[in-house]
Amino acid sequence: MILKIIIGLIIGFVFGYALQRTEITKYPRVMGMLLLKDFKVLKFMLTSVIFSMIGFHLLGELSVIKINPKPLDWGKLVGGLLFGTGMGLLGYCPGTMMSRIGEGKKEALLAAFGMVAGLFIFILFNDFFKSTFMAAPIDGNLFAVLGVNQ
Amino acid sequence: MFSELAETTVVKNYLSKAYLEFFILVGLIIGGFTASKISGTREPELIPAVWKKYHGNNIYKRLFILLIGGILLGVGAGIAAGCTTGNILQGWAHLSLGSIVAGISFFLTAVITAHILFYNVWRTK
Repeated sequence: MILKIIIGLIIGFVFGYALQRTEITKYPRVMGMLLLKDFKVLKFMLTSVIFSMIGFHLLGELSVIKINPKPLDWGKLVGGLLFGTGMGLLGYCPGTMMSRIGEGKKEALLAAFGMVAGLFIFILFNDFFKSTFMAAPIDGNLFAVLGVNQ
Repeated sequence: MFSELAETTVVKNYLSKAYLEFFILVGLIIGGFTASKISGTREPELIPAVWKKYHGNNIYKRLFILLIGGILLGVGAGIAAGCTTGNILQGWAHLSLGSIVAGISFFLTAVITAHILFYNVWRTK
């Protein structure tokens, strides 16, 4: 348990530090990307995706970690629509929200309160969401679709 | 009500790995604090300057948008089984089908919402 706490703190610290220093917690940066004018945030995200993709699949091939892809279901599309609307209204996602609270922005606290309320709603209506959107998921990753690296 | 909540499968699954994930959130706050302290880029402003320029000084309008956006963010992250970090940074790196759909859906709706919200900005280049 204490090990988990320490690992969690270290991962969070490094991630939060990186988010703040790359300035993607800044409101103009995020809105600039969403208005298709300033692509620094997108560059940060895609760089980290490519970099961690190499690491994940290398460790997966060496059986150090187990790669379990998220299944495809209607919830991904519907939840994505709700989440994207929230992201456009707020100008940040949950990770940068936490980093921004540390940065001293008081408005992020209210957004975090709203997010907890939203998760509460999700838990209360969990059975409804599960049966409506998450029935019949399709497992697999891009390798299975393209038929490579099997 | 709370004792019933603790019995639901979501909460039970979550509590089994709660320590790690909760302390990642705590670490994120500490990381943001340290980075902004060291580099001297703390911004304790209540409303972002860009918002003030285009939507005025009304604080309640911003707070209302924040609350609605936060609730949508929470419900959406629950249904899509992950936020930007879980679905794009991790899910795309795992090349999982669901995350690719979710990520595209995140971006499309966020771009559309931002264009509606800042209609004046992109209309008058």
